[in-house]
Order: sequence, then C-alpha cells, then structure tokens
Amino acid sequence: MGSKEKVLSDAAQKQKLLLEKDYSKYGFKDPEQYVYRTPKGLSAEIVEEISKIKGEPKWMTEFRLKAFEHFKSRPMPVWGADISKINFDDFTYYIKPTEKKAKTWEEVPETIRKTFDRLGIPEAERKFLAGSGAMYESETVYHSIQDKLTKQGVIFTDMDSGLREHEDVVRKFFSTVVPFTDNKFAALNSAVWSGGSFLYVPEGVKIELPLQAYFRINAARMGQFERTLIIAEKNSSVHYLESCTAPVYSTDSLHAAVVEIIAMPGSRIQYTTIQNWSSDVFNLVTKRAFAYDNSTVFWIDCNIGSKVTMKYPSVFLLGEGAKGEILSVAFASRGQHIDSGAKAVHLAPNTKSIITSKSISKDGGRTTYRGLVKVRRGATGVKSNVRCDALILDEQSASDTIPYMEIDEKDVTIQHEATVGKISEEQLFYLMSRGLKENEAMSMIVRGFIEEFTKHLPLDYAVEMNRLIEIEMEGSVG
Amino acid sequence: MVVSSDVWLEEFRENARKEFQIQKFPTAKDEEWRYIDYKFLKQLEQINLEGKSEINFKLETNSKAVIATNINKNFEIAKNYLGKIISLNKDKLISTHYANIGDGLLLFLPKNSSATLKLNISATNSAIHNIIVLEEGAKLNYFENYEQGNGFVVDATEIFAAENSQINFQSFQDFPQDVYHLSYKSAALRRYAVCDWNFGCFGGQFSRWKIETKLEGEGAQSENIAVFFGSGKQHIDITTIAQHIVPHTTNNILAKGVMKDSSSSVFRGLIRIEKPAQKTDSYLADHTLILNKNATANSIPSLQIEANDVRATHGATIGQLDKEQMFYLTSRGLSEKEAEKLIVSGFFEPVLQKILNDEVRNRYQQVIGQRLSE
Repeated sequence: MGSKEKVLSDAAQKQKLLLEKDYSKYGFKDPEQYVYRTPKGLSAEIVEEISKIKGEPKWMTEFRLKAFEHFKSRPMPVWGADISKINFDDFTYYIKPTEKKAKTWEEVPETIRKTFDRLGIPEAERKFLAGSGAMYESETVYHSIQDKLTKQGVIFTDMDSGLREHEDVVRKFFSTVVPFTDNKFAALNSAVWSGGSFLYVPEGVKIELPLQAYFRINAARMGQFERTLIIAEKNSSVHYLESCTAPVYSTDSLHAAVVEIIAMPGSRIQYTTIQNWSSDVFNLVTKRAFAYDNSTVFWIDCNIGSKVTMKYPSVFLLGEGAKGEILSVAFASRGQHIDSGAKAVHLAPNTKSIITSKSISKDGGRTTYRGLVKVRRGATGVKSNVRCDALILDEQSASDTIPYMEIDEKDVTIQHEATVGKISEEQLFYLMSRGLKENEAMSMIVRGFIEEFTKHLPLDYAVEMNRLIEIEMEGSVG
Repeated sequence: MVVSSDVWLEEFRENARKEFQIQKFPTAKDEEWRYIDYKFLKQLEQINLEGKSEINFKLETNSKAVIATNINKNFEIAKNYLGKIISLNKDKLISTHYANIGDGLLLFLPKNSSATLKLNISATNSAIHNIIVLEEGAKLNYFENYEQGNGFVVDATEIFAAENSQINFQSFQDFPQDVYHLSYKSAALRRYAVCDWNFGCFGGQFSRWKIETKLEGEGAQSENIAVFFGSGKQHIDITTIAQHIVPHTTNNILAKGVMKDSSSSVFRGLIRIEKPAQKTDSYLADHTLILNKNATANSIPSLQIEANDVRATHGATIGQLDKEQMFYLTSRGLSEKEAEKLIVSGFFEPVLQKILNDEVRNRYQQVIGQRLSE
C-alpha cells in the first residue's frame, strides 16, 4: 500500500512539474511598479493619450486614430488558430515602466536591471553583440550601440526615439511595408504601438556582430505592441536578433508586433527571432520585408513559447535577383497551437526563395505550417523551394501542413515537399543501445532535427536553444 | 403503409430544395472558391437541372447484379444509400443536384461476384446521381465517359465498398468547351476494401471535381490518379481528399497536369489522419507544367495529422518544359512543337503507365496529343 501511494505521489509530482513546466530562469515576476499606465481596455481617447504622452507629431496621432477605426471595423480572422477567446477590453494597452531610457545598465532602475541581469542580457552584450536594446512592458528601457558603428552612421535606437530624432526617415518608410489595413492585428499595433527597434544601416556598412533586442512582458493582462523598422541601404549588411519572454500568469496577455524591413539593392538582412513567451500569451505578429535588386533577406523564426502564435514572416521580392530565405521552427507543447509559416511573393524576375519549416509537437500541442509561394506574371526565372518536416512525438499531439502555391508565370521552378511522422524507432534503438536513456536519445534526435536552424545562430544562442529544447523534452518519455 | 417511389423521391427532392434556399452561393471568401470567378454559378438559380440525359451502359457480370438507370426503378435499394456518403446539406451546389435527381445509375453487385461496366453519358442541364454498392468480396471494373454535354452538368457518385471488395473506377471527361461541370465522387471503404480511382480531366469551360475517399475499415486502400489538361480559357479544379479514420489504411494520390494558353488550374489535395488512425501510410503528389505565359496553376497540397505513428508525405512541383531537354531535341532537328509534344508525353508517361486498360490509356494519349497540336 505504502509503495503504491509513493508511486502515485511520484506520478502526481511529475504531473505537477509538467504542469508548472515554466523555466525558472524566465518565469520570475517583478512587482508591478510603474510610472504610468493607461486604464484597462481600448478607446480612441486611450490611443490619443498614448500619442500625447509620447509627444508625437500630429501625423502620427492621426495615423494611430485611423488605424484604430480600421481595427474596430475589421472582423476577427476565422481561419488559423483559435483566438476567439481574446477579449480586447481585458488588456492594458500601455504601461510606462520608467521615466527615461538608459544608455548604460547602471542607469536602468534596479528592479528592471535585475530582470535583465537574470536573463543574461548585459553579459551577452559584453560578449558578442554590437549593440542591444531591452524593452520592458511598453517602453524600451535600455539601448546602446558600439561607438564605432555610430561613427559610421548606423542608427540603432528604440522606435519612439527614432521617430523623435529621425522623423523624416521614419515618415518615409513607416507603414509602407505593412499598412494598417493589412490585418486586424496590424491595425491594432498601428493604433497603440510603443517601443520596438529602429535600425538604419547606411550604404556599404557591414555590421559584423549581431544587434539584439530583448522583449519582456512582466505585468499580467498586458498588451505589448512593439514596432520595428529596419532599413539597410545599398550593399550594407546586418544581423538583428530578438528574444522574448514573460512570466506565467493564469490570465492571458497579448503580443501583437509589426516588423517592417527594407533591403535596398545589394544589401543583406538577417532577422532572427527566438520567441519564448509564457504559455498564456497570444502572439499575433506581422513581419514583412521588401527585398530590392540582388538583396537578401533571411528570416529565422523560432517559436517555442506562447499559447497561440500566428505569424508568417514574408518576403516581397521586388527587385531582380533578390533572394528570400525563411527558416521556421515551431515547438508546440501542452495547450499550445503554433500556427506559423512563411510567405514568398515573387514580383520580379530571377528571384529566389527557400523556405524550410521544422515543427515538433508533443503533450497535446499542435503545430501548423501555413505558407504561400506566389509568382506574378512577368516574374520569369523564379526559383522556389519549400520543405516542411513535422515530428509528432506522442498520440495526443497533431500537425497540419497548408502550403499555397499561386503561379501565374510559366518560366519558373517551384518545388514543395513535406513529411509528417514520428521519431524513427531505429534511431532511438541505435542511440539507446549506445547507453543513452530514452529521453536523452529523443532529445538528441530532436536537436538533430532542428540543427539546420541552430547552426545559423551565434554560439551562445545555439547553446541556449539546445538547453531550451532539453527543458521542453524533459518528462516527454514514460 | 407502402410509400410509392414517386412520393418518396419527391420528398427527398423537396428537402433538397429547402436546403438550396437556405444555403448561400459561394463567394471569394470561401476557401474552396478563392481562385475562381464563381459568378456563373448564379445561373443555377434560373436553370432547371431536370434536363435531358442519356445513359448507355454495357454490363458484363457473372452474377445477378441489380442495375437501373433511374433511381425510381429500384428505389427500395436506392433509398438505403442515396445521400448517405455525400450529404445533401454539404453545400448549395450539391443541394441543387439533389433537388433534381432522377437519372443515374444504380448498380448493386452481390457478394463475391465480379462485373465490368461501361457507361456513356450525354447530359444537358442535368443532375446525374450514380450509386454503386459492392457487397463483400465483389469486384468491379468501371468505366464512365462524359463526352457529350450542354449547359450545367452536376453529377455525383456514391460508392459503398464492403469488406474485401474492389473497385477500379475510371472516369473520362472531355466535354465540349462550353459546359459547366461540377462532379462529386465519394467512396466509403470498409475493411480491406480497395478503391482505385482514375480521372481524365480534359473538357468543359469550368470543370470541378471533388473526390473524397473515406478509409473506414482497417486495411482499406486507395489510389487516385488524376490527369488533367487545360487549354483555351478553361478552368480545371480538382479537390481530392483522403480521410483516414481507422488504423492501418493506405492512400496514394498522384495528379499530373499541363496548362496551356490562358487556362488556369487549382489542385487541392488533403490528407486527413484522424486520431485513431495510427499506422497510416499516405502520400500525395501533384505536378503541373505551364506551357504558356498566360496560364496559371495553383496548388494547395495539405496535411492534417492528428495521429503520431504515421507516414504522411506530400510533394508538389510547378514549372515549365525543361529548357535543356528542349534544346537537346530541337538541336536534333525536331521543331519546337514536336519537341514540346515529346516532352509532355514523357511527363505524362509514368502516370499513364499506371492505367492498366489499353483502351483508356490510348484515349488519354490521343486527347493529349490532339490538345497539344491545337
């Protein structure tokens, strides 16, 4: 009897651990002490209030209000993941955590600094970054960039400062890639955006080390709406990295970002996302790039966290010889639906796209690959290759693959391949016969499955990524 | 009380008419119609589908198969099956079909018997409904030909395949280029039943096939081969769905097509594997060649997988004639036209090889050759 009870309690303990599977490194909460927060819910007054606090030019206030009108009139999307439970009145749309943005970590208020210390951001910055920014709730609290880059004319700052200090550039490009009429959540972001990065790389400047932005939601029922704009002038290159985390609450939070990228002729932009929101965040993001002649845009999009993600990084290939590459990784666990994918829209001749999707679902999670390859008439010599692989680790989990190919031109080569299956028993057997435990073997196979992704990351990130996969894989056997 | 066949059928139609009133015409917002200029469908409000149709058949069998070309004639059998796989409230178009049914073939093949059936159908504004019932172990070799037609043809076929039965279903459509054709084909397969579909999709100005295979019994197997060719301003639309409901079922879908002139195509494939359907093996592939600048091809090969111990794979390609092959052939003295013809027949060859019936295969080759020379 006694031993049976023990077994039961062990099982219960394990179950509990699984339920609370929240990475202690990311899951901590700070007390909610803020300089300013708007009342819960959303109205034209709140939109105006946000704009006023920020001291924005009139055109931006008007833009926000127009976007808000569009947001109200636009119905909720009915395709994709289930987001019908979102109650827009339940969120706080703007929280200002501190009075001013710091240039050194010492100036950041202590509680917030501690947060980022625990997340390892200052350390990472010293080690391998050319610059970094940190966003907490609705505002960027820290931003810095190597002096030598500033001297070369690189601008890397938060979006609000970008608007204040470089209004002409921002006004020229803002909302040209993702108009607020694009979708309901792009409209919402346009109405209430705050924070995010503004990155401008002048002609010919090649930034060797990555620039990083870290996004953190701390408060419950919070909406974070950062807005990022990246412009790489002719023959420049840059790698931008973003990470996101939040503690777990029992209530939902909303993250609806808009990212606009403009790759001028001959430039190269790599944009890497490691999304690790807690399991109560609705993550609904619009990411799009315009790629001009002979430029390259490379999206690496990894989604591990969130309750629901709907995100399809896109490249519009507008100039001859442009290349778009999208690498999408999804890991959906209990209660998660990660509906992600990629879009390549070929509007110019001799453009190329490569889309690779790797998804893993376990403990009842669901992954969906949703993608589009479109070739407009006249875009001759287009080549596109799409490959989707899905692993389903147990009986409770599921996976969908929904690729669209819309081809209006004959002079093209379009390929699509997809496989869905489980971990091969032969591979497992082989590894276990070499002395690995089942969960170690599985975790190793999963790491191998996404290696194509990790190899594109800076070393420290790759290590962190593998660690995250290991945490996710814990308790996945037996 | 005995209900007369007329009364029963009239009631069935009446229900469908009500459904037709309730259902809405598709719009661009409907996923299935997003690439299509669907406005012509409105004509169905005016057109009466109780038009003329003529069904000539030749049946060879070793048993007492029941056959009729009108549902009324064997309504005692028909009423057990009609609308049981393709339900009448599925969409507005199928409800207009059911509202006008009458003509159509009913074939009932008893246990362990075998048969070969050849059908020639000519149809004008009509709703043809075929029901094929295979008892345990029955085997059917089925050929249907749609070559003469006019106006709207909305046809449906329901196949009930009992344990260990086998059907080889071959459908050839080369309607004149002004026909609107909407075709619904659906089969429910019990344990170890085998259904091999084969579609030649060539004619009509707007032709749409919706082919559904429900693998309901363990060990059931299906293969679906579709060959399509669009030219002029034709629109060709093929949806093929394999639904795996139980463990140990197998499916293989292969579609190959060529789009010429200003024609357009939509190929939608779906492999759906339900939660209990472990150990499923399912494959889906579609390949389209675009011959002209103004032609369009859309392809959406989807997977919905709820079980983990399965193999589900798909592949799709869209492209033009291989330039190197063209160069090679023209450098050997072939004209562009001849070279094109040779490469296209090479493209279709692997699928045509799978068609075992010589007569059918030759017919496909002939139509493809003719279309290429036009």
